[in-house]
Amino acid sequence: MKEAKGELFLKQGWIKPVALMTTLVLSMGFLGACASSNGENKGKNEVSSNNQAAAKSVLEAGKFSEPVKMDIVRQMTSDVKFRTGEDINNNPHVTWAKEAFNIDLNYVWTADSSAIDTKIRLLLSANEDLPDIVQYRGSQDVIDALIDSGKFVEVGDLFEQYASDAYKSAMAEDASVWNPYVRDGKKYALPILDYANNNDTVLWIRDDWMKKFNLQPPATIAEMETMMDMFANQDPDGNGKKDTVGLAVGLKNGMNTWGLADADFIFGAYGVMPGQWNAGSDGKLAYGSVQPEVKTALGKLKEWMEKGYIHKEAGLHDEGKAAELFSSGKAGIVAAPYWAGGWPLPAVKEVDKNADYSAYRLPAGPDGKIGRSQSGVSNGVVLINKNYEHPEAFFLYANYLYENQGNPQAGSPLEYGFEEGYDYLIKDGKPTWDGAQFPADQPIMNLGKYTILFDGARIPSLMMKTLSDLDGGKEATSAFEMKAAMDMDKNIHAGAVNYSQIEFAMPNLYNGSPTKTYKKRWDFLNKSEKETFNKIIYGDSPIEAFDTFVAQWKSSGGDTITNEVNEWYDSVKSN
Amino acid sequence: MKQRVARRWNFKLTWPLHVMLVPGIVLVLIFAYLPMLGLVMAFQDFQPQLGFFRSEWIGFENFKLMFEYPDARQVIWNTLLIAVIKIVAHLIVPLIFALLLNEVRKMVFKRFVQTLVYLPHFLSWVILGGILLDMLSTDGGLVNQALGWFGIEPIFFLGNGDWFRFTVIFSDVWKDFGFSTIIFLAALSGINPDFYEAALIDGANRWQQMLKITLPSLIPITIVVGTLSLGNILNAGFDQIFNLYNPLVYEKGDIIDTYVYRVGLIGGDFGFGTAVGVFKSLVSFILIVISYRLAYKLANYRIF
Repeated sequence: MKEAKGELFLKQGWIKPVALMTTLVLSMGFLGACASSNGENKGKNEVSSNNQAAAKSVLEAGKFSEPVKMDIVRQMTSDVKFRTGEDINNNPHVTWAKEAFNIDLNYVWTADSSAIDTKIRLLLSANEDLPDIVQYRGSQDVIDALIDSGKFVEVGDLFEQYASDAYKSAMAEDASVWNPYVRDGKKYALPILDYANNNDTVLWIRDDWMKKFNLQPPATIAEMETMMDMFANQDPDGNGKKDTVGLAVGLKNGMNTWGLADADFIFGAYGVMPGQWNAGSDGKLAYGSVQPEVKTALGKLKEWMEKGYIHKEAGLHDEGKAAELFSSGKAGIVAAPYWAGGWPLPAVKEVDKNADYSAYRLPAGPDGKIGRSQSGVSNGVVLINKNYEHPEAFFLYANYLYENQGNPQAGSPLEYGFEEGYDYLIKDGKPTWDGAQFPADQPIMNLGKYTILFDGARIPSLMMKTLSDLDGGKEATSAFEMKAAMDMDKNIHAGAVNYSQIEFAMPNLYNGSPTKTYKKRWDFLNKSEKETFNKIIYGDSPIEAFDTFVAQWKSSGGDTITNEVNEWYDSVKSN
Repeated sequence: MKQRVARRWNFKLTWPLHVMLVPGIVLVLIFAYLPMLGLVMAFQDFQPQLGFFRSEWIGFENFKLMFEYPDARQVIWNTLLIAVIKIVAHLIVPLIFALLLNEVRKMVFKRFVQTLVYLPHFLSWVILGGILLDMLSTDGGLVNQALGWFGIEPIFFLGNGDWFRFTVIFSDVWKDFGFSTIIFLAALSGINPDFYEAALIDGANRWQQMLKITLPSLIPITIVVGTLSLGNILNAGFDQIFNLYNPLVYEKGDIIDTYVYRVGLIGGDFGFGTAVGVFKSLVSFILIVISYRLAYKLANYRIF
């Protein structure tokens, strides 16, 4: 009897917690569902009943009369640094925002780039409260999850109503920045703007090698071939060995990568850009890699590989490894962004102290065509919570930065920076941003990095245009120009070269979330593309393999993806 | 009845030991078993913002997708081939090496060699990948230069599919055989010296001693190592291949893990990634159970 009771107790003992857990889990699910639907209703009511007149008067006044709290979750990139004793909630920028707008910036939590994706996903799947502002720079996937959670407000209308002219005109420079965040014609995230054409390629060539063979910078692909032939076969470094190539190019990650040691311009010279979606003549988007022009360009690369103009292991080299060929003095030409003059190219001087190099314009193809892939203008997003009572606070803040910090005019309160002694110094009546001038215990801190806009207000077109002006001999007068003029001369010149070919940049017009078939098939298509292209270049497959690839691409999902991508494009381009 | 009393008495005596087990069990429960609930993802169209409870239930769709992938057969075949050869090589090479090392008389030399071959185990594939790329280069790479002294044409180790497989297996064995050697050396030192003494008296030479005493004594440990490594039959080494492969060798070098990485992690399809993980674990589990049964039956060896 005793035993039986014990057994019963034991059984109950097991059942109880299990039952309890089940009920708990179930009720949590219910509660969660209720909470979310409540939240949505509440949010809607508030937005519709929001006193817009009050918001506008705040924007006009430029300051809240009552303190307004702003809870923020932000991604900390590795370039955000603090002085000892300071952190994201305790620094001159937070003080400044309080004084200037009466906004209390409150960072609920921050996470670095490797952890934030997981944190956001956990937050969403646990259905927890979200902060007023999410400041994120990373994968489209996470942004999609945030938008699809339905907890963030539609920002398109808010932007129209509250954004200042300066902010609007910066955003209008490239309307496609909104595209990834449009759902049913409405915009759910504010794109963070970055400098345009930042990673677009220019052609860096060894000047000392050119001089040695008495060559001119190549205007066409044919002229570049002559140059590559000499660089590869006539011992430009004079060490008596045949150990140099013409062009440093990395093909491991594709024909069109993010910029360093890129092959994009070779394809551009034939009027096509592989690895991205370009507008066809009919206005529809078409995938670059399956266009017939690619075949011709691949044939050219194959020829160069045979002749030793490009490295035998180009197919094994990623961007960095390929650029190393140039910076170790083994290659005479490399296509790279304008900033490559500061890194990684200068290393070549350690190998050869007479080495010199400059940026030149990209060469034209047989039909006079020039092309390169255009780097994105948007880098990150800001999302505003539906339940945030003062969405105008963000616009008050961003408007001010775009008016006073993006391209500050003389006398602007943020002309030289946020705070003297932090991001600039006044020496002998003149501003300086030179880190070496700062005392060792109070190093220079880029306060722009503390802003909700990640790097402060950036006007996309401003950087390249300024570099071009400076290179053209314009004297640096505005603070922005003075700062830009601090860059290396090589980079400034390269920026001007970049700017002179700006019309040849080809943007990837498909920047939205992956479509249904894209998710399922893209890896296979992408893999067979890389495989086919590299095998053709290496001569493992005949050039006709390209036609087989195109047919296979179309039949195994490519056509469906093209349709889906165009459906998406039609749904967003009207915005 | 008597037994029961004994047991109770026993428990009274040993309860502190049981208590000491609790933290370990709790940790295992929290960090190993609780996360396994996440396996439901494999049967869902998992959306992080919806979580486990609200994501759509799609049954075996994810598993189907895995086999519908046009290259599935090739990827699975590559994985099996590379993994099986690696498993076999990882058994034979350390065994032979341990036997050879066992014959070395000078302790200093023996220790030195042992440490030397053990070292590469601590290098990560990210670093080794870069080193191998330079060492195996057809253009002035160390290995091809050495081959050149014998009049051999440079070999494109990382760009030719068959050579790629060879390179992957060879470099993996080179990296890790020192580690496995230690296990065999430990087993060797556990052999009763009386056996050798008796064999010596019977007039057995070293070769005969090795065949008749050393090798049979090593069979149990070999079976243990072999059985345990069978669980890796679908692990061809992600870190290694991910750091070494390139478009030229996809055909012979793309494995399940690299494929899952591209689709599951980069593409953000977590349900699919989990499905492949479940599939792999299931195969490994079945193989371990079978091989363990076999080991028990044939060699009468029990691990558990």
